[in-house]
Amino acid sequence: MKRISFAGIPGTLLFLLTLARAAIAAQEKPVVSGKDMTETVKITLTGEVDLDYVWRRNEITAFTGGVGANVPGDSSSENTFEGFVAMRLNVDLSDKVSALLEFGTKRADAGKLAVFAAPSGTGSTALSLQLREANISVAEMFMPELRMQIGISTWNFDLRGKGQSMAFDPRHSQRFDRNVNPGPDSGVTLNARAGDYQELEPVGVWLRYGREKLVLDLIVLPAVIEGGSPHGDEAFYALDLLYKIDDKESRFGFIASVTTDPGGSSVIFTYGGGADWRGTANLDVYGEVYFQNGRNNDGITPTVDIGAFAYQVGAEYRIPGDAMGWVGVNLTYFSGDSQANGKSSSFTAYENIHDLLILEDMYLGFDWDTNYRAIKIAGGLSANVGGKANLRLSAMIGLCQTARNVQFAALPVPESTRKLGNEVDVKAEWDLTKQLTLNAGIGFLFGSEVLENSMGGKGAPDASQQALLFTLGTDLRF
Amino acid sequence: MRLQAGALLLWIAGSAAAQDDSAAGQVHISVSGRADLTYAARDRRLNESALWIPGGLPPGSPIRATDTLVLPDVAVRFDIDSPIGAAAVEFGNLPLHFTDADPRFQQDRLGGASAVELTLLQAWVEFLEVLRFGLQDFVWDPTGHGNPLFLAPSRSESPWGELPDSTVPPFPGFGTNTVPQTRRDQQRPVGLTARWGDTTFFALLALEGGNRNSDQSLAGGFYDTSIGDFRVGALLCVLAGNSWPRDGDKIVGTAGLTVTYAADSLFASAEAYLQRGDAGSYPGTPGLRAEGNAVRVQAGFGDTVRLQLTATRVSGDRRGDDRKEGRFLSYEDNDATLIVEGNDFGLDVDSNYMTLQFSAAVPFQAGGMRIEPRVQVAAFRFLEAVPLPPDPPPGIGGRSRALGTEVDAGVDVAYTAQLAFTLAGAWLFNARALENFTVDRDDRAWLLTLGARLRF
Repeated sequence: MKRISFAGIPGTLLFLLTLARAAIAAQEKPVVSGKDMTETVKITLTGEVDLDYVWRRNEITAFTGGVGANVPGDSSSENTFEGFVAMRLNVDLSDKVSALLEFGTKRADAGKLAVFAAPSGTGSTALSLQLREANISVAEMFMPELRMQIGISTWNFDLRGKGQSMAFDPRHSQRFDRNVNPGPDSGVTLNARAGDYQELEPVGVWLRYGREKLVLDLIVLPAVIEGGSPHGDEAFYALDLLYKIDDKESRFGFIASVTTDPGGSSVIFTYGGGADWRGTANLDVYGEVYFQNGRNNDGITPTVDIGAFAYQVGAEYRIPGDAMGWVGVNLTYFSGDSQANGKSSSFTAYENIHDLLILEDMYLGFDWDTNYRAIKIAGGLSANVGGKANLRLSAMIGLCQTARNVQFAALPVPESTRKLGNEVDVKAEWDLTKQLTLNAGIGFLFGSEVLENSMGGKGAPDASQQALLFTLGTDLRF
Repeated sequence: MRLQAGALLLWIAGSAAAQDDSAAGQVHISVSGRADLTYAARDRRLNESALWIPGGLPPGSPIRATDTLVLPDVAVRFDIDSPIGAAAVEFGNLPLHFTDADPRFQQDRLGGASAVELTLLQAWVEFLEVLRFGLQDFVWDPTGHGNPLFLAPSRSESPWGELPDSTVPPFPGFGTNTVPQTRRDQQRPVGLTARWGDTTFFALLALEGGNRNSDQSLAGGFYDTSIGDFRVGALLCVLAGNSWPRDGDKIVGTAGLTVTYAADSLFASAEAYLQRGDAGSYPGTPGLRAEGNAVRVQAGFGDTVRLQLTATRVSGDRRGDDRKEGRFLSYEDNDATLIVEGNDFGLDVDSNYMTLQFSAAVPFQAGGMRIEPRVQVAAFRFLEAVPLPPDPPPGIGGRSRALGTEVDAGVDVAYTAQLAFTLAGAWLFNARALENFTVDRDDRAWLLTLGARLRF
């Protein structure tokens, strides 16, 4: 009979938990393994149910496809139920060995968005259960500071730790070189960029050497995308360093990485770093910059030379007081390509920025993730609605352009524009309980000549410079 | 710290109380599982020859490329223990399932375009600790040395799937069975098993085909008992390509005898199987008489050094167009060698061959871990030269019995009692029979695997 591990639980809390034993069992879910599995110390069962109602106006479904096979010029608004269900098993063995298994549905898989009750093409509308996570970790590998993880890697490089990596989050991103293009963005770019849903499952080894302030990672992922022959795989290798500057979690970090893709000559180097400074009580200032060079001929002939860069700078100020208000400003820049010269200057990466619901979010909107310049101004506050600071409201204005002109040469009157549009988003999150959160969001994009021209230009059916999106959902964690 | 210790005691007391509840009829559920991740690098010649297409594949075929992959075998099992009996539900991925002619695990590998899908692996209930009903793992390993030669339907492909042969040109028509076949699959047998002392009976549906004439099933019983240092067993089994004898013509009976001797550091075993019956009729053939047989003899010594000698002979068919089916039909799971016999990444040759194998291992302790380097040499030979008549030999090559010599070497590291790592490599050479099935007329192949195996 295995027991819950009590290490690290404060004594008072532990005592209270023990008095409420039934409640503990319900929340921490100790699970008993077989009698012969003598080294299984603890199995913890957790899970998540994420269910969102999403309404997208036809200017969005025209490019994401939706369930109605929408295309520019013949699109309609859609409302769908989207999300995922996951059940996670954390298995702790003795000798610092643990395993993580997660089963459930996936919100995005094989280039498609999982929509509840949607036709699957096989006659059933049920979503298949899939393997979401599978890895084994050894906490102290030859030395206390060294940790190894093998299997589907959970690694990312998120300097701010806010869940939005600028260039290195393969779990919530697409094929690395999808934005490699020897020419500039054109009338087909929006269609190619949106509706490409992926949550990759990079497989390999992650070694972490971690001390109190210093973290050093070696990432070897030979199969970010499995393609059979090693020459057919997308592979990623990286070395990163994170150093904590102070006890307020300020830190800086550097990364050097190489990505290989099929094609025989597809090697892209990405390197850079940044800092997140939280040195004063309420101010958070951050910045990061990455450079890229290499070659790529994955599906492209002849080989394309890569030369690109990206950066972001920003600041966030937390307003003292019970409302826990905050304001922030951010400048994000991903380089783009301006001419058909056989070189690709568009920054390509495993990015996972999703501040803006329509322009940036992969699941909801266009996921415009290169050739991009955005100034984002945001603010938020919290309110007490049945709990302490359990209602969080936020708003964001995004002033967005492409870094280089998008060429619409096929229009009756050829156009060239950088006006990606301005977006206003309002979001709300309401924690009904510790486990259940209601969330809602509305996004409005306007002044987007790129959107209008991508739909055929002025006068074309459905063509518009505006787009609208609304989402209402729940997120249950247990 | 004191408070924590007190709380811990309270917790244990609470758990004990919960255990007492079982006497009042409470159901207990335990969870166990596995997470096996195996990286494999497969030689291009292994990929190509696994299709057994006379003449090989055309140049440029993507299958003619060295392949690397990570094959997961992940499962979670819920054992339900109630006063009326036990039950179990297990789900996970099915690491080997035959989906098409491409032998490269396209649906099973990690990191693919689509995430690995999960399936129901077991779902059974047990009554009176005797009768087990439902979807269940069923493996009979009479010698206890692994690699069952006949009865492991939950680890094996269908024997009937090899009858008739593929119709992909340049193969001849139905009923010829002129080349070996590599079919990676694991059946999910459903039905009834009963264990009564040393005797086990089984009646299992291996493949639901809709119409009862299309179902595949197996039924019979085996008896195992110990007599001093010996363990003897006997088996009677009926394999049906359709459900019942009166329904059709695919009925094959198998009789088997096994004996195992183990004393001190020595062990020896022998097993033999004989088949008779009707292997079915196919277009162009009035019916095939099943005449398969198999025999395996093993002897070994296990102490600070482990040595083992194995001789195996599994019958094959002589011609593809006569009225006899000499192939031994089985739900085998004999993966003693990585390439020739291996079901996971190799050719899974399971009939029409004989082999003599010698293996040696030297286990030792280092750094608190059990480490076991091992090496195995195996000589193989087809009993009947392939491709069998009437299939013409492709190109300039003739029929060949030379299946070559395989050398496997590896090391197992038991990092903990529940986590182990394995590094293994295999090299097959002088397999001139493969020349008929590779466009470059290759007679060798290699395989490399690196795996982690975790149980909880």
